[in-house]
Amino acid sequence: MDYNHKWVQIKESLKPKIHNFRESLFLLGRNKLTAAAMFILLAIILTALFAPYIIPYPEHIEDAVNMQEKFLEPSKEHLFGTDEMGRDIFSRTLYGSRVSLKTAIIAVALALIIGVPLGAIAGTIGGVLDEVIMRITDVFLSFPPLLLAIVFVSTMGPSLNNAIAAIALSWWPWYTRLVRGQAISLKERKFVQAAETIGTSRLKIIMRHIVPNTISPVIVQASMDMGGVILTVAALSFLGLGAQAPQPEWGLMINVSKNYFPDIWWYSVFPGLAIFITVLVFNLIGDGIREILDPKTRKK
Amino acid sequence: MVYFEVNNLIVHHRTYEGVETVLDIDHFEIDKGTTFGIVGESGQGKTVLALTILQLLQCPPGEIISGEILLDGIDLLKVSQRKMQQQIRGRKIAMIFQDPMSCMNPVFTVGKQMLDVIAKNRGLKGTEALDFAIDMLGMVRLSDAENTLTKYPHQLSGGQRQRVVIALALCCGAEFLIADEPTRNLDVTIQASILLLLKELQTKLNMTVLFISNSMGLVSAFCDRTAILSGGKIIEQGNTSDIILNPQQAYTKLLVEAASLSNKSAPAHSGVEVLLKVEHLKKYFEVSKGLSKNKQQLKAVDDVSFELKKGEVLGIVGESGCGKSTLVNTILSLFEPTGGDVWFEGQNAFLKKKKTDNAFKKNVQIVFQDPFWSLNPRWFVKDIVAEPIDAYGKLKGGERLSRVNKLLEMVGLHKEDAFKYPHEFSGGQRQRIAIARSLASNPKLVVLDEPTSSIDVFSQAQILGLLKDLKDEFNLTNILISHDLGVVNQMANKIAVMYLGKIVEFGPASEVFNDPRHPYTKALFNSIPKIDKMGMENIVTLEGTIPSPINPPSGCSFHTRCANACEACSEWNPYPIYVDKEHYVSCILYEETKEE
Amino acid sequence: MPRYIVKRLFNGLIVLLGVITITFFIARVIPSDPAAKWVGARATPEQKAAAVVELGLDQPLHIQYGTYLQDLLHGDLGRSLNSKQEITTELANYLPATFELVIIAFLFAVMIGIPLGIYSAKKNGKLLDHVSRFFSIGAVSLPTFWVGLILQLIFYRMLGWLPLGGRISVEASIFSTIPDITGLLILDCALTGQWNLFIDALKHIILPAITISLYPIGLVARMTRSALLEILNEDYIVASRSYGIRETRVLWRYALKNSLGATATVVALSMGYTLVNTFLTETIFSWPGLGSYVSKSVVTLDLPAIVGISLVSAFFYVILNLIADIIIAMDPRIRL
Repeated sequence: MDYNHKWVQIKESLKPKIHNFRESLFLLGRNKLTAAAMFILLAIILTALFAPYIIPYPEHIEDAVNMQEKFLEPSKEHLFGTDEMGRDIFSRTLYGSRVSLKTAIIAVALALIIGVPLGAIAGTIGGVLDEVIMRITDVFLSFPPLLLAIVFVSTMGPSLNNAIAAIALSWWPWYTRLVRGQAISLKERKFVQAAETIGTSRLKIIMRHIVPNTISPVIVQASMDMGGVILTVAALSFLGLGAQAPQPEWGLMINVSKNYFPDIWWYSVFPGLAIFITVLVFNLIGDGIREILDPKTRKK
Repeated sequence: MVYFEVNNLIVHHRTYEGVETVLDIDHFEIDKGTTFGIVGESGQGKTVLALTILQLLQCPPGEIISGEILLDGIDLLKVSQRKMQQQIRGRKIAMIFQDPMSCMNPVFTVGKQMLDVIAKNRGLKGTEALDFAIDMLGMVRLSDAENTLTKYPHQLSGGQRQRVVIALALCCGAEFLIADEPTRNLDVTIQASILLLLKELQTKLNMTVLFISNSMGLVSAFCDRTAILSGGKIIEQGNTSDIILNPQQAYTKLLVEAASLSNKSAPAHSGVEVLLKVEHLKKYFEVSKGLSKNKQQLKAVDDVSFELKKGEVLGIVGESGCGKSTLVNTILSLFEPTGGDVWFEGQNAFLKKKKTDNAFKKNVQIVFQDPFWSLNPRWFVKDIVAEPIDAYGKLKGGERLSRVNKLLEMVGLHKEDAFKYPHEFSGGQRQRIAIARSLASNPKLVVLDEPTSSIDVFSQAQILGLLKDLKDEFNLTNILISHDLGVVNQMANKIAVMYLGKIVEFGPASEVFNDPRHPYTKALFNSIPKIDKMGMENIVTLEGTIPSPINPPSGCSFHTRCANACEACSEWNPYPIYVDKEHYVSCILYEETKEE
Repeated sequence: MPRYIVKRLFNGLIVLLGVITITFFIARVIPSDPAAKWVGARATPEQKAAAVVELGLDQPLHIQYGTYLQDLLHGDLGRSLNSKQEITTELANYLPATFELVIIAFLFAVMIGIPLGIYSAKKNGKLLDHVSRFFSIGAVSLPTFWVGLILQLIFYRMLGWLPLGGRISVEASIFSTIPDITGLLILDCALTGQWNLFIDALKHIILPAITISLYPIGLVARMTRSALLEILNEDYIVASRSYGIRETRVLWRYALKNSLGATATVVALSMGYTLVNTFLTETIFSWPGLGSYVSKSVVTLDLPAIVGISLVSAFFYVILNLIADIIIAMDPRIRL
């Protein structure tokens, strides 16, 4: 009956089990690599928040043209050099963090909005509804990721908003699966059974026993997904299906830069480095979370 | 002659959360050819000790700080891993692990695993090795050895698996055997047969055995000398009989107490008012076998009837899979019954009228086995305890809180505990919270589902005392499920013995305990090692394994294992035969055996 | 066992049908003017009208869906807007080059990823494990298209060791006849004994293959490590050690067999990911495969071509799933 998606199983086998959020955060800081990653992430987030105020050439963000300064090599004035319109790549790369983080957060939030309620319904109500919802997630999950997004954006027209929608469309089944699994395992928990024998009403059991207990794993999963989502946004933009010129988006910058490659190497190298570091930091933290929550490496 | 010796062994465990001393053993020694028991609860460092001896402890997080482990004069802690593997493990020391399912490789057949071990430790190959393996399976009394060799672990029953694991250890040919809770997770009747087998092999092969266990009872039957392990330290050691007859430490006394089996509960004093009446209750589950479509019925509870009077404590005992939990869950309407009725104070509890349903739920509460999972980790204790109040009452604010405080005090907790989360409490305290919750709606019947089996002996004794006090104070009626006959013994004044979904004997606790009538009850009680009768001589056991409840044997479902069974047993369904007014036995042979 | 495989096959078919349905919805139902999307922006009104008839857009939805399915069954994916060719034929032309890349990347994933994972499980907690952990996480964090550029920068511009892109150098393609037997250039060169061409082709494939394989290598190493670590902690492994079985045997014979299912699944499924990464990489290296076709189609919004590629990719993805299922089924624990 069930199409057991192995990918899902593997991803779910790595799923962390959170008992105490504050304690976990504390433990996270004790692994040096993870702590460093958290520190860098904080820096990236601050950069994204205050980008307009800290970048050296705020006017270069969109379509300022300064042709006599085009393709300058990295120097003191232009740390990452300049691009084909003479814009400062350093400013645009820093500002790009704002675009990437924003799109990733919106995309994940959208996926959560679709995925979480469906998962809660499937898990708590069960039966035919559960079957139907799960089969739909199977189908969505059997598209290679990115491909669905490509098809969707091609149809709807290339734009950053459509790219966000496309990513949400290919990401929600993960959250549905996660929440459903949580809800089902919670239903088996003795405190839910205890509530049933006590005579607590069905609605109250769902709202007060089940839903609050699914939230923290969902948040953890969502933050661990950020890296993958940023990568996907960049890939779509690189294909010309995401951000459109003159937006300072990393993937788009590399897309333009490849026309001048390899002579103007700095144009490609720095935005790519920005993607790499951001995604790496998210993945390192995600892996750290996994490691410390692994019951085998810790002791109660 | 001292064969094995441990001196000043200190082992640490290092995690993210800090360093912890898991083992700190001054000294113990074992003479050649004798049996030495180590008793302690889980988490006291028993398995760490076994793994340290074999140098198989994971380091990190483990860390051996100091000490020596002498086997025949060789300090094992100074031997290199390579030499350990080549000369010590298997050759000199063999180990039997607790869980036979998880300690056999699931993707290899029994034969393959045995041949590997034989090749390494006996240097045998081909048909020689095969013959040897068959011999070893014969040694552990596995019939049909050749067939067993071709099977995967999951195709064997629990008892068979443990026999194979013992055979694997025998294949090594070691003189020193570490048995780490070899009968854990096995039913008592199977446990007895494994224990007898081990004893027989030990005597025959003159092995030295380090026997690790969490029960005084098992050690009293098996071991010459015994040490008590608590918090990684040996707090007491000596001859087994001395320790049992004259325990010095409080902890040892508790362990001895927990294992003794004399009925202490008051006789069924109670009135005549029937509180709960169960009539022909049935619960069948539909199970599909593999991928095939045809469903089969698993008769978890099959035609059970009994009455419970006000103030009584009914203990339900039986081996795993006998249906005791399903019975209770069905009575509580957690499962939809397949047939039969439950009457509570004369009202039909299965009638789904809103009003009666509520009254029943309010009056019947349950305390679950594992207090870790039975409390919502995100709720304050006050909200957990008040959940039944919220479900029925209209208590608000201060009134609600003062009720919660009163309940907390009743179970021995403090007012301040109301604003804490469950994870801030120990297992025993959590169970107290669960008990407070079960009392919040002033119930008349409280079901106790293995209430002490996942907490330590200290708390166990206290919780049992608390439950007794509360029962008297509020004139509660209890149904108690436990696999631990000691617990049932302390609490219950009525006993129901279940086998394959049916009650085979029902009666007052003192009578059933002291003078069991049904052959199964007799076997069940006799297969438990008793500390007042030390040694293996008194252990009697049942042959064979428990049949599957999917296709139970015809007639009396016990006839396949019953020593007295005759032809009629497989044809006639047994019916209750009353020994006296309140004591019945479901056995058609009962009349005859009584006359003899 | 056969019963199980039939069941999996059936499941795969259902998923495929679902995939087809989704593409149908995205291409035909969601857009406000599907015919316009289908023929592209520069189409004349006549072309558009023809498309309406061809796609059956004037008919009710379920009939449209029926025709869509029927066309697919006949292998008819429509015509490309750019070349006006049958998409099926075009895909057949582009497929071998991509296939060649994916196979090499697959070999890398298996030959580097699995040993790396095993080694890092063996050295759990030691320096090598940390290095390999960092490498694996780094590998899955790299934007594929950027890696391609960086590799070109290093090996073409700075070191001059390897060519910038393409499948074979221009001189070679002018002065020799390119063999075409299987469509896999390297294999064909080897088969016909043209060793100069063989080396030339090999030089061309190295960089794109490395680029694509980084992701699966990282993933496979990571999954192999965690699967192995889990198994090495199992009681039965401790038990084997207690019987005195050699550590190498424990690792290579016992633990590895137990982790086979998980590893095989990851390898199979990471190839699905790789397929899409191939698309990005091919554009960088001007590799004449499906990816170049995709990016060409994406730039011109050649919708029929994009849908066609998606369906073909999803088809391969489902097949990879099926292979993983069958490998898992070889575990005796799963009762069939």
